[in-house]
Amino acid sequence: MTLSRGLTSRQLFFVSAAYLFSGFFVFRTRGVSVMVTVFLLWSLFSGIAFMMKHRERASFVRRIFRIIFAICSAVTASCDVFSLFNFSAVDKSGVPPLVFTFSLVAIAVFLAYKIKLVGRLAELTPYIFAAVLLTAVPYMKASLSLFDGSSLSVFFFPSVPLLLCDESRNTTEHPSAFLSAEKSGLHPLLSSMLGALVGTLLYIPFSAADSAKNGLISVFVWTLFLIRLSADLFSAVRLCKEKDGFLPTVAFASFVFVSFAVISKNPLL
Amino acid sequence: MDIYESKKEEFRQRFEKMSDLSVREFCCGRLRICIFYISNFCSKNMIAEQIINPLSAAYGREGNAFSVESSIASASLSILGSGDEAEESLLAGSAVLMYDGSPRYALSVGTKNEEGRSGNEPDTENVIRGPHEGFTENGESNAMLIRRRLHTAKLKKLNFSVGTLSKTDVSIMYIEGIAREKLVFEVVRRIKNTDVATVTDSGMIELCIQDGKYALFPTVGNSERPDKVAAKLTEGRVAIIVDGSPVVLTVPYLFCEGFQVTEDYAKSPWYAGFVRILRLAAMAISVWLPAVFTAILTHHEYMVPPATLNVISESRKGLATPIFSEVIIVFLLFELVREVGLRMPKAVGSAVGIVGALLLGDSAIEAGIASSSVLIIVALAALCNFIIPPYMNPSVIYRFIMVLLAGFFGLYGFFIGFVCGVLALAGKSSFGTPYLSPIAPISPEGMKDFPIMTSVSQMKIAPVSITGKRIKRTGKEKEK
Repeated sequence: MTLSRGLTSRQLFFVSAAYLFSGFFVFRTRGVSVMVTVFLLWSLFSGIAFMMKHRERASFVRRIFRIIFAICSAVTASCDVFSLFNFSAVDKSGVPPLVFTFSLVAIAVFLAYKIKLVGRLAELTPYIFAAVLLTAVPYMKASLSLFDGSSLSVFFFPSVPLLLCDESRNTTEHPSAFLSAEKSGLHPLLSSMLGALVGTLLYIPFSAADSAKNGLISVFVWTLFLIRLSADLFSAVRLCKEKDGFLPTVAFASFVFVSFAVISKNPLL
Repeated sequence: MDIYESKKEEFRQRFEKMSDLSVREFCCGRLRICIFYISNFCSKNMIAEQIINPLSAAYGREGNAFSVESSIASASLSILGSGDEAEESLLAGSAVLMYDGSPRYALSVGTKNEEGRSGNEPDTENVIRGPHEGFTENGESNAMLIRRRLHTAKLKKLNFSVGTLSKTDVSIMYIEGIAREKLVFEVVRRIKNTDVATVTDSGMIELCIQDGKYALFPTVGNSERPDKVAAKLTEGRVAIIVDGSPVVLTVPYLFCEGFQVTEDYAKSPWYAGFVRILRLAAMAISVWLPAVFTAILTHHEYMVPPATLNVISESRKGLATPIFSEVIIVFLLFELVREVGLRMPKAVGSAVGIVGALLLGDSAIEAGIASSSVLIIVALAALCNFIIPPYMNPSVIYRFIMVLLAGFFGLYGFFIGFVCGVLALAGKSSFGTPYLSPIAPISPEGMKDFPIMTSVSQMKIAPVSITGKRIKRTGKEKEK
């Protein structure tokens, strides 16, 4: 089986970068303070999660954290879905936002069960990015301000990397000695944090870009967003499968139910 | 077991799983003689004329006390002191002779088949620099052509018979210790499971053993060049030779192989790297450009700069068909002309070319069938398609699907087609090796050869994704 569950550290790097980059893009983040806060939160949550995952005994604190993370994942997934309705590139995609969103969620649900595929897709993003860069130059403009604020939704996501870190430790796909060596230690955590940093820095030149005006940027951002959504769903599903996952399951199901109920009742869509 | 027998057995064991090793044993009175040689690598006539006939004649003349060394009628005769020397000599194309009571390990007789270029250079894989030799329809000769390039006892050959009626000889070759055991086992299993009445070409075997019955992109490679197949064997692949076909199959086949050309390794890495990027860009243009063009001009005209939009609108004046239909029509016309050109005899080919040029040129524009902008896009996509021959056919299908999706749903359709296409490739595997390796999953050793290439001397480790372990190409021992 080449699609065994789990990500390698390299894949974790690219998934993290794609996750933050697309998050900033879709939530139209403009402020440096927001970006820095998001990155710090990512690192903090990843660190806590990493330590928690490496503790042998199941403790009360661990259980609490798991529930918090599950709720964060569910909320993030819902926010991500909602964010598409206000995203200009989706409005001009050629199909109604409802069709776009539901099809994207459908693909993401499929990918949430094949996280390895998400990892490989993430590994391909640098090549897509290189192609996009050629057409995106006229649209790039670094214009970050310090405190112009942005959507709070991006704050919800930091639960994701922990599970991906965990999975990367269990991967058996790659037989190389290098990867065997990196199975232990902080490698996955560092990869994730480095990826998040790269994603954050890469976003800066794109911060003022209007993806709706360039088709290729749109496609690139949608692809990254698909990775983000798949990672959210994967995290939520993975947490729900845990031993004490009943509460997170209820939380996640409630959020999804409410999200879809709101979407379907919105007369504008 | 006496010394002669044990020596013979020890030497035979060195070439286990090597079906093209031939052993000829005979006796001259009480003297037991054994000749080892590799079929087709050695000339059977020379063995008969220079070894067997003279020895028989000498025995007839002199009786038991005749000297073997002096009886052999060969200009190239040497004495071998050890098994290693004998192995080397055998793999270099000589016949190794052992006889009862010899004080030496063995004798080496130069009986190498010195036939020159056996097959013409294949039309599909022309090179300016490099050997101009191709495989032939003879399976045994093809194995010999590979063995000529790899003088190692680790190069194994196993034979099978496929086809209930044709009983076609199919053999696999691999280098023991480099090719994964699981891979060899899987290839053998799939060949043995091939259930067909006749095998007329290696293409039939390819379809029977590939991953997925309806795979769009190939998961089994093929080549008509012995040098290319030999190089692939050193990377841990398995070659499949089908008697009656000049095309040898190699597995696993990865996506990156379509962009690698034998000649790249004889050029400066800078230029080879540049050409690789050009090929990748050509592939992207070939499959995605017409779809992007259709999507933007059908659903998102606001994305096009006004000046460019004016030029396109001018070129489309007087055309009744929408741009989407126009792209489809021109594509179908082009594929029609291409198919006719392929099937027609060469003598008629030029005439077909002229008709094609008229059909897809000025006449089409004047007749109001197509606009110049669409013709340029389609022609560019078609031209780029020819740069990567292995993906010529799948690209046509994928491009067509992309144009349909883009035409109906705009950039959203393009996105869906793009993501599904990339995911399908990312999830695909060829005989257990991820299809997009070494870029997804990333393999640092493999990335020295794709997408851009480093110097050949830097490629010291065989692709880990294929071999399953780190194997030094330059050293004799595995790196721990």
